[in-house]
Amino acid sequence: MSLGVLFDIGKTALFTSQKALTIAGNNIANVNTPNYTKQDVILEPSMPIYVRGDALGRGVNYLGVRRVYDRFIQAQMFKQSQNYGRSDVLSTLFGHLEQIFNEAQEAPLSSAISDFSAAWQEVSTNPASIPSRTLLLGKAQNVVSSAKNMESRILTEMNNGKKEIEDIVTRINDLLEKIRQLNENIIQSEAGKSVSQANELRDMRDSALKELSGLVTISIFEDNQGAVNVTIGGMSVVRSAIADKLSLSTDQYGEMHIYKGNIEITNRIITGKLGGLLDGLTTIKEETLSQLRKMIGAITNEINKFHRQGYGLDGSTGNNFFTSLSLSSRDNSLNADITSLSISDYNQLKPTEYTISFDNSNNYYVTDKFTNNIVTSGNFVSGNPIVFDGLNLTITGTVTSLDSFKISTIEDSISHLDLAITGPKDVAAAVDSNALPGDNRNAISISKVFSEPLSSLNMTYSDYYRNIVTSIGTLASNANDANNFDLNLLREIENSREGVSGVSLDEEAVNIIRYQRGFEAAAKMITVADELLQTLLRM
Amino acid sequence: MRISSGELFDKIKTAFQKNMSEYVKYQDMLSTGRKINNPSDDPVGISKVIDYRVNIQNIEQYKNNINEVKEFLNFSENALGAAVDNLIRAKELAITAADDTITPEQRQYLAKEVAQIKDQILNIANSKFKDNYVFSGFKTDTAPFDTTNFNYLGDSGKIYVFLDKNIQISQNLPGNEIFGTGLGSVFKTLYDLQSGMENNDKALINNSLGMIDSDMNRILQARADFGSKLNNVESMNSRQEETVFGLKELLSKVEDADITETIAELSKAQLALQALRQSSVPVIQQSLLDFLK
Repeated sequence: MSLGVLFDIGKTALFTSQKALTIAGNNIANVNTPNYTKQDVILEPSMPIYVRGDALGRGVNYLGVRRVYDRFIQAQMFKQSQNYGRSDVLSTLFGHLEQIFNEAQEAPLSSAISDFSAAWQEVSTNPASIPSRTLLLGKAQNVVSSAKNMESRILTEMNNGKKEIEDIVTRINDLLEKIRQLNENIIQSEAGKSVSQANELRDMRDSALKELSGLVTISIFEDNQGAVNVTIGGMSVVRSAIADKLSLSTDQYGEMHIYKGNIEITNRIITGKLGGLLDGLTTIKEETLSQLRKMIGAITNEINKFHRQGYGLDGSTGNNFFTSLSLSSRDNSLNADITSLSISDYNQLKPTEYTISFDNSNNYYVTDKFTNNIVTSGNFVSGNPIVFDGLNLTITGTVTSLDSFKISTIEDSISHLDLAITGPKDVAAAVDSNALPGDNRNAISISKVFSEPLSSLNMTYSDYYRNIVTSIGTLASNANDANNFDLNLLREIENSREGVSGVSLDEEAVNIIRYQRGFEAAAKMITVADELLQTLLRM
Repeated sequence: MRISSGELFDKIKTAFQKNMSEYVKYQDMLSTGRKINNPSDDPVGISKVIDYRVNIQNIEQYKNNINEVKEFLNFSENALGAAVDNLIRAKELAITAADDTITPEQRQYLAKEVAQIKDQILNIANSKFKDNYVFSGFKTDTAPFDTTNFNYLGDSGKIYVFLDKNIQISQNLPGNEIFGTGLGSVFKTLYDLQSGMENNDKALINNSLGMIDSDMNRILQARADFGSKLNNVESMNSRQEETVFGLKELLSKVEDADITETIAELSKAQLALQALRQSSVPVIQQSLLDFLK
């Protein structure tokens, strides 16, 4: 064995220590870099040489740098980011919503309605008094503006949500493109290497994947080339170095639909901010908004019914107090249309929403959305009128069991709401057609609208309103709880990840000392080898 | 377990945020005085809050109604009281006039006072409260009695007012039920008495004397009716006041923060925050690097 081996061993040791120091330095430099994965040197003893049967080591081999990384924790983090994205956006959304109904601070709508009901009693105690009647009209106007204000605040909240959805879809497409790009780079830089990885590129890709997880429901698989494949709602969106885009369209009714290619995936997106927003906006629209409109519709419709029967101080009769409910419809069919829709009997009109569906035997069913009861049904004949609850409806065309129509009497119950009555004398407090000034019997009947259960709500308006506020409070409180839970769990996972992949300055300080000593010792060894050689040369 | 440097800082940051939000929560409660500041703070509680508030608001209106009815009933009762007093005087005059020792001239003199009494009762029957005729049923814009043939011009309408959700009371009585109408009215009786006195017609005077009693009975009955309604309304008023008081107490229990408890919790949160600040300083500052110089 030659002395040269000593130099070789010293050299590998020197270089290795130097590289390890570089890595420790790099770790320290990235101590505050989000999603940075701690790196480590991979070392291996060099192949020994055999000298008369003895294996003698020849130093150390530097194989490369690896990320200290736990694939399982990383997968958990992507999963939990999706849950957190959903609950985070829901807690914000419902948090804003509950402020609109914040009866703890101010009671905008409920006190407007209470004042209005009190004003009716004032009129019933002083039926001939013009000031009482004028006050009533003022209070009625206040109900109208409170309801409109509340509705518009809800709609504003929903519009903000819709804008956020647009932004999120754009961001998702950016991220998909970024992941595709990184996939391509990683494949190129890792090709043919067995140990070393494109560490920084992978960190960047993990970062993008984490952000994407916070936005939408995804699954991630890594292939054997190092590229990740991403699916959203079961549809592949990134395959190796190919990426697709999601597209967003808003239909004529203002509903948002998300497509991948020409396949709609809206309902498959459950988690992430996008899933939370889609779900939250549907809840607000189908429950909160719809219930609020129903309540206002029920009160105004009932008051109108009584008011039309009564007489004003000037003998006027048959007048609505508020504007009447109006109709709106939705067509979810291919080959049929609503060709006419009108109110045939205002006294039978109900504040609600109907769904008209069909079965395979060409029968139609009209269902009340709130009670789930079938209002009427029969054999569908194109062009024949369907009459129910004071409505007259004609559908023309051919229908299938996939088709449906929606009729609503309350969609515009707030937006079209106004006072129909023109002056205080028109307030129909009297039952007698002679319009006697002391006749307050109709005012008394109308007062009862506020204190007695309304048939269309099945309870008093105030109980119904309480239920609305309570369910919003529950939505917000559940969303908060879920958000806290998801956040804690995410933190827990992030901590686990930090525990494995995070940089510890103390640890790196120890490493620096360690490799410094290694470097010093290696240098010493080369000095010793040199001295040995000189000793030999001096012989 | 391996702890990275970032994790150390993050953990302290999280702990600060948690303690801070706890602290702010109690601070909020103290500044508003309420423990329910958002519907989500207590969804069931907020439902009760709305219920109590609506009820209190309703009862305040019932109390308004009660006050108005009370005024109206008081007015009506006082009016009938004056009518009765007048009628008693008329009866005295009638008895005096029926006495055989009275001269026709004296009767003529008495007739003038009876005429005044008749006009006064007619005024009472046609009196207005807040610009509305009190005794004409629903026809509150029409004087109930015509002053020449004493016909009742009102109707039989009774004006009902809510004293509570399910309790209504009629505040008025139609004038014909109190004063009669036309030939059967107290005015006609007094008119007859007056003309009996003027024409020295003793039979007519005696006849009227008999009629006065039945007229007076009718008015006394109506007055008693108003009196009992007044009692009713007064007790209803105190009952409503008790209810409001009870509801306000319930409302306060649900939505008001217990100040002592809140202050105690606030100090606890403050203490925890301080402890965290003190204990986290050495943890953040210390590093192995300090010892490697």
